[in-house]
Amino acid sequence: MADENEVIVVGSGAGGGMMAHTLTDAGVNVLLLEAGRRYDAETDAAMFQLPMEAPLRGEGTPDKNDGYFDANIGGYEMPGQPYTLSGGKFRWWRSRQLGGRTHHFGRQVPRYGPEDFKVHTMTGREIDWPFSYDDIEPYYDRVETIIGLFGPDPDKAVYNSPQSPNHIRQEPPAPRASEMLFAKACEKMGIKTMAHPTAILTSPLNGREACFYATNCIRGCSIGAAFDSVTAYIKPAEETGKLSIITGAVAYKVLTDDSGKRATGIRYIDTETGEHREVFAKFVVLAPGSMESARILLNSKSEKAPDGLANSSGMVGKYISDTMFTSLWIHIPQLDYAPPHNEDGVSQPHIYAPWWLHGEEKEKDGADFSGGYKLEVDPYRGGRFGPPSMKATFGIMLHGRKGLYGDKLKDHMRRYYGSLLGIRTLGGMSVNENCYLTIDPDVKDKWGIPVPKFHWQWSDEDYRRGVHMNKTLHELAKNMGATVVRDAFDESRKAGKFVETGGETNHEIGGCRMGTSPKNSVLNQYSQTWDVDNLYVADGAPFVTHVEKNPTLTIMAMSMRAADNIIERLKENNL
Amino acid sequence: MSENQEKLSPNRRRVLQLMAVAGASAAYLNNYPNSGAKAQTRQKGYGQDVDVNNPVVTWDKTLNNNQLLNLTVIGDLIIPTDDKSPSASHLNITDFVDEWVSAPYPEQEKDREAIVSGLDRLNIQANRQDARFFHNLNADQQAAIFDTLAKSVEAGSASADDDFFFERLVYIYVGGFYTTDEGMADIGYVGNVPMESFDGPPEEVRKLLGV
Repeated sequence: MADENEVIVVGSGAGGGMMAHTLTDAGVNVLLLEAGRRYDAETDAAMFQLPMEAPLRGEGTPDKNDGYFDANIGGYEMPGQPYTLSGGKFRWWRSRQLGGRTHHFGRQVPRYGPEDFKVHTMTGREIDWPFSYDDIEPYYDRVETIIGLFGPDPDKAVYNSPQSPNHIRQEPPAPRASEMLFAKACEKMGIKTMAHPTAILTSPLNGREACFYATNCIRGCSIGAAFDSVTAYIKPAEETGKLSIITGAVAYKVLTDDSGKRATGIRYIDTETGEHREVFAKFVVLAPGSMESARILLNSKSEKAPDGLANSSGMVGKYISDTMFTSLWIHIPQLDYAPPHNEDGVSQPHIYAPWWLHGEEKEKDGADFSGGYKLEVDPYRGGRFGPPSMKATFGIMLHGRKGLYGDKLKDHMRRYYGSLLGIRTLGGMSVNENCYLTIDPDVKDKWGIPVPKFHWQWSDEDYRRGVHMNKTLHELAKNMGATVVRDAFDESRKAGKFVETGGETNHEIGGCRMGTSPKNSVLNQYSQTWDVDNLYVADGAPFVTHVEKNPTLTIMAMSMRAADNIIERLKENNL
Repeated sequence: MSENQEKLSPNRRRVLQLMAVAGASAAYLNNYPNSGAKAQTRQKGYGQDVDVNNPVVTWDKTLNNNQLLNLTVIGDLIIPTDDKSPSASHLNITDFVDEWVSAPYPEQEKDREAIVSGLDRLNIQANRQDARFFHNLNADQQAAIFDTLAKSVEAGSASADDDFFFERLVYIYVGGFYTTDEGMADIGYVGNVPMESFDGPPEEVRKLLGV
């Protein structure tokens, strides 16, 4: 029964799933609203299907952006669910299914480092987070214990890239051939490499099986080796008997009492019938995806909150950001006609180089930008002995090979399959005031809900970071004994884009940032809105700064911290 | 791990069965719908929520018989038989090209335009040698025309249309061919099998790289 719910959680991905798990584990009754349908990788994922089994050899289309077998339902363009732009370029990735984006994501789960929470103190730019690494560290431990991950020896961690402790992390898989060459080249450049912390099991955990080193994680994992929210959070939460789930529920308004200071529930569209429904609870947690959280708050306007709910600071929708991403495709001549061997591995990078320049070294280098970037061999862009796909594998092999056909073409394919590969960088972004969303006054989605209007602009600092990233990739290629086949940064520049279009790394966060004051932020350090006491935001929206570490682990750690806060308040107030 | 393998093996079996069926339908040329139309009728995409375990091509193939016969010849010029793998026509890759260019998505619609008009230009060249269609020419004539086209593309002297026509034809044939079992075996893809552990590359590969 709806009136028995203590907490409504909107969204079932990394943040919402974690929230539901932590609350129900503590005996709290939770109602979970998910805009999409039920989805369970155990039955819904297509793992071993080959490209030739799918239409168009499984290549991406406007319907399935990352390929036919990608576990994601949604993508950048959804019929009847548009968004608009007020400046710059931004693409909004969406997932409409139980577990949200966690079925599709790369499972990379690095921790933020101590410096990452105090960018202002370090650089005088942006603002600091309202908590420190020490505050969040216990939550990183707890999250990692639940999701399971492999990672490097924590004693070998480099400055500001802390790693999971030995009693939590599992052993990483061996590096691939190209990754060994990558490690050797990095060593020459004075850059340390190690296993990339990744939420994939190499030993069984909580009834989930170990990875079998085949198939791409973005298809979903039916054996539970790769973490997803349904397997690790929602199923155990359902087993407590404390979780109710409504799927096909598109939340669009937070309901409040007459004072406007207490949330009473959520209004949503039932996608099956198109009806508008209301549900009520003592607490409301938004975790529908960062941009959607801001949209819901801005659309929850009332007399008491004319600019949107929890928006007395005017900060809702502001300071959104995405990870900078760029890559090179390179040719390793020693690997021409190399003996075939299986290097599918976990489908994600096995090793990486965490950001290596700090303090004086960074200054000396002239790296004038906040944060840094990490280096990896890209398992899915260009060649190597990876699963053949048209664009990612053969498109690169044919790039610039004009007029090739016949016997020469066949020889070419044998020579270069396995000797081409992508190397990539993921970089932070300097959060700036020119990246934000508002509500489009004219455009509505198919249910009549006003849609977000995005404004995006990379900063000069980002440009400097991009140039640095590109330069390092070229040095890396040289040290790997490789020649450059394609240069994504250069191509983007020539196409008038910057690195990539905003949103295209699918790490869009911010929009309800947390802070130390109701004047400059939407949330306090427990992800609770300053204006509405019993309203929390638990997806990527609370992020303050954007560093080179993938955001998912920090989303989950902050969500767990918010859940603890709710549990404490429920106990204290005996509500 | 053996339990996993059992769970997954029906999938592999199904793939192999599908492969066998595809290989057996050699009389595929008779089965094409002959639309004869250049413009594509509005077709339906597969949508965003597909049943990944039961993939279905939701659109009709639209190339006409002469276009398919032309493509079959060209496909075997692009990917001929040699001692390691068969030609494109042995694996019905032209059927896949038809699926590709008939799809109701922007990338494929652009390819369709490029390929249909490119085939028309080849027919015009055939007309000059008193053949109605490119496929009516003898093998030497076909090879000579195609080689001239390829050389002009290589030299950068081809028209933008010819350049794109050639590039996309090769891309789609390569994509279709090297994603079949025979194509993957040719280039040496040996993955997509469950393994107990991942131990890194074999010694001979490490030696090549000096790692």
